[in-house]
Amino acid sequence: MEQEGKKRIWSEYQKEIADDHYFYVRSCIRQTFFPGSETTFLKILRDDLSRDVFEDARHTTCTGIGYHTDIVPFETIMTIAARHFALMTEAGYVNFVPSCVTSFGIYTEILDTWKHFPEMEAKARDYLWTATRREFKIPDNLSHTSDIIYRFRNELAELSGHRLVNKNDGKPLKVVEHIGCHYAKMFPKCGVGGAEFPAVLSGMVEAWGGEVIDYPERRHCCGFGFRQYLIKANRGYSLSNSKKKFESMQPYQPDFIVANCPGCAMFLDRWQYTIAEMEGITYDKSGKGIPVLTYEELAGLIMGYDPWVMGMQMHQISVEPLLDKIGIVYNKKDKYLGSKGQYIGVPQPPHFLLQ
Amino acid sequence: MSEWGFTVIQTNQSDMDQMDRGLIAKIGNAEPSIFWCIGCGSCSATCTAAQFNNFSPRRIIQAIRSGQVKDIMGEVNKCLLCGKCQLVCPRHVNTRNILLNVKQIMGQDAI
Repeated sequence: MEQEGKKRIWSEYQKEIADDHYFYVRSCIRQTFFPGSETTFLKILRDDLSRDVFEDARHTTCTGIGYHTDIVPFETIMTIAARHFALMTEAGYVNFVPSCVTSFGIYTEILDTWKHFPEMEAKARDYLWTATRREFKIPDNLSHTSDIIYRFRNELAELSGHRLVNKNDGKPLKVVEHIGCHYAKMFPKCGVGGAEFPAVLSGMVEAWGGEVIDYPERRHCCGFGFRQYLIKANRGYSLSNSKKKFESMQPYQPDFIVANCPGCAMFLDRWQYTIAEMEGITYDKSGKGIPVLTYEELAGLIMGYDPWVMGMQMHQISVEPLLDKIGIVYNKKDKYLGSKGQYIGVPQPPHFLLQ
Repeated sequence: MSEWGFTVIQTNQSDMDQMDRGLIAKIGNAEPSIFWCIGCGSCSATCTAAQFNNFSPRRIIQAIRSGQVKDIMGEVNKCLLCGKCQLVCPRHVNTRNILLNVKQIMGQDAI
């Protein structure tokens, strides 16, 4: 195929990502699992890239988990999304940026519904007015936070002090990129690269010097799946999905996994511990597991942020082997110190996973 | 496992990397009607041996056709070769001859 043709086809897989003035909405679960990721995003945007990011303390959960488990009806979640758009409108912003892939999927679904069924939008406006006396404008731009980091990936590469290169042999680190299903599988036009060639994470990895692994189960779901983990007896389905991915990526010996979804990062990290405890298996040669990072943590690392300030001691799989490969200097003693320097305690070690 | 309340679920998918096409090639030559099977399970439903254990002619034919033949010999040996499966088959698959051939071919392979 000629280059011109390639460019034309690839242009159909692009999305518009706002350049500045973001109305930022947090995830309801990320701060528990990966506590420094959202703060790192804000710090990078505000301090390193000098962008305007606004967040409103009155923002609530999008109720996506309740919606996907058939507890919250569509009319309710639609009204909650409408309230969030109203908060954005009241603050004078037009670019809506959710931190969570589930929320991003919810907003894309609602906006698409309103586009095709205007009576549903009218219903949401009516419910919101009745409940809160609020009105809203539909966002000009809806971008996930990983889209924003993707947009500035080259600027960050120029600002960064580290590359995704093994300092011992000079070779690019081998990276598994995992994209949340709700990012672009439901509405392909809403994601960079669509559902077929999602480039949002691979673009970052390549811009920062790493090598993306193309393994057979690359686009398989992590198994998060809402109903699969909410009911304990069903968690085997969730676990088995992740196991399938680990078995598929294992021969390529990845140095780490990066994910753009709260649930994916959580389960790809924690299920490695569970599988190790159940079956005595780890998926790397050292027996320590494959580190799993959020894209904000990855961006923070190459920008030289302290891994312990970013909360990376909360990971199940130790990140020190990865830090050593990149050549990031860190203080081992600081790992279990809180934000005010207080000792926060060392977790009980697992039986099989080495620390 | 009980301490977790859940466990790893074994997949029912056919692993194409593990496919063994050798047996189906031989059986297909000896008894081409194996390709007519639609997997309805009439054979398994009427099987006398299956009344007493988990033997299933349908599952064996499916395994041969998908190349998952690793544990098949132990299963085939449960067959009494009575031929009732053949009588009820809506597609006139000669199931008895298929199983007989599996015994003979796999027995020879073992030798």
